[in-house]
Amino acid sequence: MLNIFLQQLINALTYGSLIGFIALGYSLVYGILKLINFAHGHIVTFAIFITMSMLTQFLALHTLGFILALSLALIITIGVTIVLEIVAYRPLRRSNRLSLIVSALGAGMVIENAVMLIWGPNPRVFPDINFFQGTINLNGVVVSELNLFILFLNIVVMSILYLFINKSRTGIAIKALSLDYQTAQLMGVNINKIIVLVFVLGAILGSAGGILIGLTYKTISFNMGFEYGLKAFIAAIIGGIGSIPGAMLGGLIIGILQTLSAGYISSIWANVITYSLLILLLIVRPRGLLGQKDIEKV
Amino acid sequence: MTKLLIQNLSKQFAALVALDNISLELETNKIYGLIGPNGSGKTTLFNCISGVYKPSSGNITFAHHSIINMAPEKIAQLGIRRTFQTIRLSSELTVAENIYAGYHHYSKHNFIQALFNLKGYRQDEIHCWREVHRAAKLLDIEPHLRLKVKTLAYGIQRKVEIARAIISQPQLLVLDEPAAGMNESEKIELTHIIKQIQLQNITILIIEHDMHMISTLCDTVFVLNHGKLIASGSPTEILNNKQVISAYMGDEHA
Repeated sequence: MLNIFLQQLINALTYGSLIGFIALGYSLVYGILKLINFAHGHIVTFAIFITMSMLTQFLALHTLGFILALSLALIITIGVTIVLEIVAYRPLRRSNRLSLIVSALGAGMVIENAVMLIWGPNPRVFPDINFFQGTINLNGVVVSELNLFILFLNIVVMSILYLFINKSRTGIAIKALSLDYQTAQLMGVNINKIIVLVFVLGAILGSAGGILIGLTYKTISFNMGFEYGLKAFIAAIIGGIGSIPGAMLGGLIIGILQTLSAGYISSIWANVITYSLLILLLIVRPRGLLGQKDIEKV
Repeated sequence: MTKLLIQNLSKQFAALVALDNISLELETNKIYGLIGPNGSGKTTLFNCISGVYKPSSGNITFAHHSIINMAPEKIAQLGIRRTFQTIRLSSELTVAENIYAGYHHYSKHNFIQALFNLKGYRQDEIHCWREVHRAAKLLDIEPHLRLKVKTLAYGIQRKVEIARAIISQPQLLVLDEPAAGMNESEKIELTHIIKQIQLQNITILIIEHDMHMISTLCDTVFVLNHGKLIASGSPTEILNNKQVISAYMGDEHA
């Protein structure tokens, strides 16, 4: 009984971490631009597919091939993100918030359809890699090496990001100036550079989440960005959008609620139970668990 | 030596001429005042100097660079820093963090050095803290460095903004109504502080409504009215200038 619960919990934390990685992308961009980057989920899909292609291409090279494939896929995803920022967001930065959101939604559709055109509408299988394939048996609770790696990466990434935003001077400058681009510029900060940096950071975290999703759940499809993106977006809101630990916490909560309600009640009701509880939580705490005051409504 | 040269500067917003053919010259290490009734174009002129607005015509030269087509951050990096009519600080952060945001451009370390606390980062950090303390000491806000800005009195917040502007050792400091909302004793202290800043080889341009402060501080005063430069000269000359008196009081007083 306990073993089953622990097993479920491990699965929940893995799933939650993956959602959390994607949620960080929403939260980071919101933190500086006050924009919900609705294209983020689709960027993640793009990252998954381009990684799949690269892996298939370089699989013969084993570990070296894996590193090469991953690096190339990341570079291409970063490139797409930068183009997206310059083409879809930068020209609208001073305009109405709604135009920016519409632009984000449109950009998301473009990317989703591009993925469909390039890789086809049918689900694909993410290739196997030749490590993280083992499992560890702890008293009957089976933990895959991949699960452990995901949890480990979660902690590492969170710590680095937290230190970067709160301790490094670039981070403090980002925080001090994130509310007001004009003041930032007048203090000598190249705000375009910082905004691109934040988008790229979000894309890298999202890609990491996406690639791990591919490795964990194997089946991928062009429209998966919508579902994962939506869940991650909700995670970011639950945790308190703009907050880095909040995004991860929100991801973990969604992971736990989904997995446990699917495991103990019914998988058909998992979404209903999860989101009903989350709505209740937002009624009690509208700015999310770790959110700051003065959050504007979106 | 000429630090900032403005030639035939005009700025038009649709039908409104906010600045009309302004020419003036600021010399190194002097304090200049910019006065004029509300809506006379003072802040517009500041915005043109700092790159917020692109002028409709004319030229601005700073330290031999034409700055009219430069991005605001480039102008700031060249050495022009400013404060704002309404305070623009991050109220959730501490005084020290706000001040060091002004120093961002000068930090030399990279992320990896910061993450692993390497030598380059530590040196940069020591240097940066020295600069924060220097600026805070000059403004007499050292005791507040670790407090959040929102917990501080208005007069102190004003000083934090000036500290953020001078931490980068600018060559020209542009102050937009620095004494607004301050009481008399704070104004006297601020006057003293601005004189101290001048001693750091910084040219200063101030918008201020307090004529007493302007006449104590400034070497030269410029007067704007309806976007035109109607007078310039020593504070005494300006106070006795008929055109200036009529701009402020209406024609019958002139």
